[in-house]
Amino acid sequence: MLLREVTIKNVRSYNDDAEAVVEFPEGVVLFEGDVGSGKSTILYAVEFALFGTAEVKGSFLLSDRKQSGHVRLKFSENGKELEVGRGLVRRKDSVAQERCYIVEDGKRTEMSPADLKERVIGLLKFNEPSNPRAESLVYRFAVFTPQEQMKEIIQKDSEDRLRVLRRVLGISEYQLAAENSDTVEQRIKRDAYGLKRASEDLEEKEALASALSSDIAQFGKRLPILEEKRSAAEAELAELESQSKDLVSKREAVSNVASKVPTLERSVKMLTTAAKDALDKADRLEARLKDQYVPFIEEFEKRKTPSERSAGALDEELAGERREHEEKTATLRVLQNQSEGTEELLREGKCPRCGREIDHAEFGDRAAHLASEIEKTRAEVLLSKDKCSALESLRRQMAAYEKDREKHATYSKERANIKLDISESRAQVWAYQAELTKSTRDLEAARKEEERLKGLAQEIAELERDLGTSRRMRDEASLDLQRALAQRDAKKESLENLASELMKKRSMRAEAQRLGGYQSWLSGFFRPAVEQIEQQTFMQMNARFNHHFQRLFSSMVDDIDLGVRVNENFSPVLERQGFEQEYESLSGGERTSVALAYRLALNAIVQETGASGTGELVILDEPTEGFSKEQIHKMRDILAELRSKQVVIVSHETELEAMAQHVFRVQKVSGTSRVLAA
Amino acid sequence: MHKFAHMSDIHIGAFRQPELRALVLQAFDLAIDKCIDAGVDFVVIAGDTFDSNIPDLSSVKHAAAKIRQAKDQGIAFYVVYGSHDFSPNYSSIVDVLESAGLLTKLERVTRREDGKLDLAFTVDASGAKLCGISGKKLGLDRLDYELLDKERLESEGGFKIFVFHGALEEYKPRDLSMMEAMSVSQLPEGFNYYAGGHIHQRSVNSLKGRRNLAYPGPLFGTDFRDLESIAKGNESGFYMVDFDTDVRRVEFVGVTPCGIAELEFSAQGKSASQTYAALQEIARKATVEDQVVLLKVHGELSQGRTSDIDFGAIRRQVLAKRPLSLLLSYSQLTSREQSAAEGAKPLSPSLTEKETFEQRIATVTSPEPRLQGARGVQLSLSLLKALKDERRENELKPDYQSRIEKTGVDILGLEKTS
Repeated sequence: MLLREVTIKNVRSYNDDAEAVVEFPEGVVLFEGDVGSGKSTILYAVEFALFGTAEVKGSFLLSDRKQSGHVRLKFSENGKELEVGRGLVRRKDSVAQERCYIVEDGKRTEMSPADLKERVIGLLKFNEPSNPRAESLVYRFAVFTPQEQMKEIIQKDSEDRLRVLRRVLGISEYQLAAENSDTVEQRIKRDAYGLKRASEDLEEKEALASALSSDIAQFGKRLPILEEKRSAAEAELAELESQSKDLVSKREAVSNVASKVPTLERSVKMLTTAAKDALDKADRLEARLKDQYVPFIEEFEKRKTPSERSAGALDEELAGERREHEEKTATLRVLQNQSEGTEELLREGKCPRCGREIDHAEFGDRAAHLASEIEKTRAEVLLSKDKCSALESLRRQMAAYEKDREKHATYSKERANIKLDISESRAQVWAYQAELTKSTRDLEAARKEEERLKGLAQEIAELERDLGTSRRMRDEASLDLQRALAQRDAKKESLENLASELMKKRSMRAEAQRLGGYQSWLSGFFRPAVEQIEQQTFMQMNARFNHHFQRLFSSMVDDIDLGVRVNENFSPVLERQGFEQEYESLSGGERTSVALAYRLALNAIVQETGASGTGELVILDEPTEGFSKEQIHKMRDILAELRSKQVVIVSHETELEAMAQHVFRVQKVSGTSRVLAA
Repeated sequence: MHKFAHMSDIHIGAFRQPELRALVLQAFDLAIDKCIDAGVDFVVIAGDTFDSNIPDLSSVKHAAAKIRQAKDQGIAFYVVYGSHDFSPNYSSIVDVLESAGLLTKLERVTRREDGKLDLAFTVDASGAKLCGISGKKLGLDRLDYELLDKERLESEGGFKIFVFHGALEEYKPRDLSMMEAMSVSQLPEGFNYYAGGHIHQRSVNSLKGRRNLAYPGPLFGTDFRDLESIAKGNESGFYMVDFDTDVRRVEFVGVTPCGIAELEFSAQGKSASQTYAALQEIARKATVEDQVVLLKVHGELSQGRTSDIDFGAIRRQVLAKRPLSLLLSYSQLTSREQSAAEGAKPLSPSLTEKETFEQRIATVTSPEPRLQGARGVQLSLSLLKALKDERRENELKPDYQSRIEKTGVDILGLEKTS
């Protein structure tokens, strides 16, 4: 990268609302001016234009009391002329970036601040991820390092420094490659593992295929035997079937007879039972008639009625007699009450109500009369009671007689029916006996026939048994054969399927082995080689760095007892007569020398590696701080040694003017910076 | 009988470490105390009284007070500049102290019209006559000797002491073979005593008519090499000289402000972890309280890097034993990787990649032809290039991994399988 021109407006002390244009010729360019004159602002403006506000805050850059400002930077990279621009605008509580653009090949493209930074890093081949919030470490280390930050870098934690240097020097890409090699190897390992898993039953399947082949071979021997067995069974069956045809007709006759005998037997048995039942029934009916109906009927018919009167008339007479009895009984009670009253008065001698003395004579008569009446009435009551009893007895006799008369009528009717039933049963018995006689006769005839056909039936039965056995044997033989064929076919099919599966699995196994070979190649050859390359390159860079670092330092510092070097981690080691020295124990000039030598050694090594697009340009910010006059004069040789096309120096040391090809004076007038060509 | 002390290379103000700087002053105090006790008539300091022409003033203040104490006892101090405290325009701290009446500079030179230098004697109260030439940087004092009118000096009678600050070719220690030096013959002859400075190794010699050519060496260490020398048993100190009309006795007086322990470990053939463990063990066992400790580690590590050794932890472990100071040296410690990379050619990562793959491809045992030989190297280079590809902006990690996996298997020709 080579700087061409920067245009600054309202950035820090360039604050007069006008654009300050600063040109950057090639060669050693010195911006000289007093402390605070605005020299470093030019460098900040350049960094802002390239990378935005990651390192330097917008609020730091934008001039006080200005609402907006901007920077445009023209530069070239690898022969290509480029221009970038960024704006700053003050908001309520902050300063934000705006209006970013880049001009490439004459074409202007508006971009977001982050996109512009990414594009610039890409163009400069800085080999670092673009993080909009992070400074460009490559630029910070290899192009422009503010002097105070250089000392920070020297004293930075070695891990941090190493990480940045590895990136700047392009070493980290080997570590990345090694890690990515692991990623690829893991992928291959996964694939190989998948194939191995899928083919891990290969041996088992091969054993299975072998067993199937052997089984199929066995079927080759067994099937003809089974076929022969089935043929023999079929022949035997055919012979038996032929025999059986002759016996079919005979078997039908046997069958008819055989079926007739049991029917007849059942018929005879049934008829015998029916005849007996009918006879029993007739006997039971006759016994019942004799025991139950005939005696009652005959006895009743001998009886006379207890009264000639009707039952109604008897009931009426009984009712009248009962009324009379009740009346007499009531009269007796009245008389008994009157008699008791009279007896009371006689005993008391006076009326209990009026107290008047009674007439004993009168009342004596009265009592005697009443006693007579009571006696008479009592006799009448007893008489009427007897009458009622007599009538009631007669009435009961009449009721019993009536009931027996009804029973008699029923029995008479039943007797007639039973007599009819007996007649019917007797007739049935006769009929059954006739039929039984006939059936018995038929049965005997049938049995005789059956006996006659018995030998034939046995023959038929035997033949049928033989036929059944023969058929079973034939069926079994067929089944065995079919089963064997099915088994053989199934095994053949399995073997065919297995063969294709085996082919796939063998192929998988082979591929897994091949992948394993690649995996081993990556882990056993490639990765160690990359690590070796990394280590070798790193140590070569370390040695080259040391070479430059020591050379540059010794050209700045006369003290031969004081030496510098970097260890393998690029940590500076300061030694006096071989003994370690603390950085803090150095003088200001020595510290600056260490920092500058480190910085320029880094630049030299970056140039050698071409790791980043940074070799053409070096920016040095107050590189001689703390230097003696002698040391400042030595800068001439150091600058002459730098192979960068453009060296931009910012310094307040006027002695450096003689060493620069182009000198610009930076002055601050009334608080505003101006850049003037000297 | 008189007595004087001959010191040199005191280097007051030397060392950046305050504790070592204090030890230098302590050594000076001890030496002066010994002089007072011994009742010397005067003290000769043959250059490099101070470590620089303008050292830190607190050290100067301390030293001046001590000199004043001796002066009050009637002891005079005669000095020449050394290469460290020399000032071409006489603005060294030596000049300041001379102005204050604490020191007397012996280089009293006048340039004659014929270009020769006349060197005047300074006569001490004891009657001893002293003169001397200062040491200067870059051997500029050699011209002084060439121009010096030696005959005049040699013709002077009495007990004479010549004070100088420089190496002599004839007595230059082997390890200082590259040092600028003059020949003994450049010194004037016939002096009773030649008080030398600059060489940090004591010796008393006689050569070519010059007797008692003495270098006492530093009073204490002025740099790490001196401290190592003391640790190895070379006592530092000064000479005490008895004289009347001639030197009667030259006695070396040791000055030991503290013990110096040297702990040394050779890591040759050992791994970084073994070395670290060994250093921890050394630190654990060390009994170094109130001593200056020099811990030196050297050799080439068989495995690991020098940066794998946590010297900070070792330092803390030793400091826990409360030494006066700890000086750590591992500049001679290297790793095999560093040694292999020494003198590396200008960098060419792509060449390193190709060469490394070519070297290692022979180890590949795979039967796959494309993984072997030149094809294997080519495949490796293609794969390496692809696998260096970083995650893109806004690319999710799983997507990046999938992309890398696919690129990898594609390049390896395994895409059909995978």
